[in-house]
Amino acid sequence: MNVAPVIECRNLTHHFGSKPALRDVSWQVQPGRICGLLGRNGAGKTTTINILNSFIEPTGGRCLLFGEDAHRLSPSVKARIGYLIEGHVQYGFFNVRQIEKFYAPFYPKWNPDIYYHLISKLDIAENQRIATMSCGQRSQVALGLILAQNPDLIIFDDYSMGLDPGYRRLFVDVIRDYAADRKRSILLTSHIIQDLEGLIDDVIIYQRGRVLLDMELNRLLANFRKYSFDTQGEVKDFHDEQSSLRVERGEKVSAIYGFLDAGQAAAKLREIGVTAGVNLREEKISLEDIFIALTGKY
Amino acid sequence: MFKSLAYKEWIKLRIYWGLIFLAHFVFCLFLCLQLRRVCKINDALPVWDNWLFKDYLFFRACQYGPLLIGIIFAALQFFPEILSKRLRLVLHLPLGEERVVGAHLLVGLGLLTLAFLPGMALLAGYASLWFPPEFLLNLAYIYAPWLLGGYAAYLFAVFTLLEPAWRHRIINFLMGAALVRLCYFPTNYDGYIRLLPCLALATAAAVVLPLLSVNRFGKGYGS
Repeated sequence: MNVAPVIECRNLTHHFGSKPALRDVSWQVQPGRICGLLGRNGAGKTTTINILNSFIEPTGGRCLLFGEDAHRLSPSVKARIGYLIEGHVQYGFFNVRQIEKFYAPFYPKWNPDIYYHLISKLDIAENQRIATMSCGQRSQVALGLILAQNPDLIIFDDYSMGLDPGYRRLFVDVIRDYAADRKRSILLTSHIIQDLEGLIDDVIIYQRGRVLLDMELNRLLANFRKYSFDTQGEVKDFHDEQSSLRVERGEKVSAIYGFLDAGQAAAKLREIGVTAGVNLREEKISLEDIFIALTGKY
Repeated sequence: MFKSLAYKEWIKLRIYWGLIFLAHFVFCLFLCLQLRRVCKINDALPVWDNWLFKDYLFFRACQYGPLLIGIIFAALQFFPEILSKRLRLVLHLPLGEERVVGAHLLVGLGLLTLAFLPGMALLAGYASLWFPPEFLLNLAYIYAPWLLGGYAAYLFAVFTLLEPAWRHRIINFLMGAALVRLCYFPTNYDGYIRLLPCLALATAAAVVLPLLSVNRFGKGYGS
């Protein structure tokens, strides 16, 4: 059965003046999935999030949320979407109780218990103003307000920004619990990639405004490999974006990364001029290693 | 939904609004005492004479009051919204852009009116002890463009603050300054009567301008 995607970006293109920010980007988020949108700074993640939330009109292409154009969302569809702004931005003049009272009437499925349950875990009083809270506390207030909406889709723009490891873990745990019933979809961006490994189902990686990779996380972790080998004179840094292949020269140990087995890796090394016999050793690789192998360190 | 947005604006502005209201009211009270002192010393007749023939108005000191209050109030209301682009929070609410902007302006204009009215009523009530009704009507005609200047200043300040691109902000500011200037020509007895409806219309039309800024924000200008 064909299920309609919750988010669908079709040939999305955007320019800031003459500078391209997104170039012909297409991807989807299926219902019940947690999707991580990753990329280096300036790769186009926030531009995409802003287009999804109707804060930027794309130069070309379109984004659909629940089948509606992101730039002309009806209020009923907007009520189904929770959105965490980068930096956990909220109104500092409200206190914990007042902000709940403000948001509640806008959302038909509002559940204050979710919000107050999250707040009860923090060392804050209900009459404490948001402006006086730490970044971590503010993040939980913002998260609680989003979850209380009971949205079908949540968009988290760089949720980990400014959070210490404890709050990051709390954030991830809460998201995981919330999405456990597989009825809600989540799109998130973050630069703390190690946090995402046990959280997301699908991964989309941007590079310079293009989709570099779009696949299920499990498939990526199972098929993307790293083989290290002793550095020889002819080893040079090499990168082919098209085939997701990278060779990284180290002082004593070099490595080759890509969607390849040991035989293919050895063949590839020969192809790029590493002629002497190499002893390839497969190494365990994390999502962050894969991300860096694909997008580079510089 | 409107009630919720009004609640947000009230929580944000209540202290500032209280201070503005108090400052305006105390200033009007001060003018009443001044009027009383002058009329007690010289009698009311020389004051009427100065007003009619020498264009000296005892309340000219409050000429720029509404203008200042309008600008300050717009800044207090909308500066927190543009800091860290918080405007995205209300624009993401399940309401149309027009309703969100309209509700904010309605609350802003309402609070401005509530800040102006009691002081003006005090001044008019006290002046009625010393002046005949014709003078009071004239007082209203003279004060009306200044008041419109205050509302126009508020609307153009909002238009300028919400505009996402700096170049356009300067243009918006200059347009606002031009309209507001029209409200502050040196005036004498009945001098503004014919111009008042046009000024009122222009000020009322300025209500749609902040919507243009928000619309441009939504199109990603200034990003």
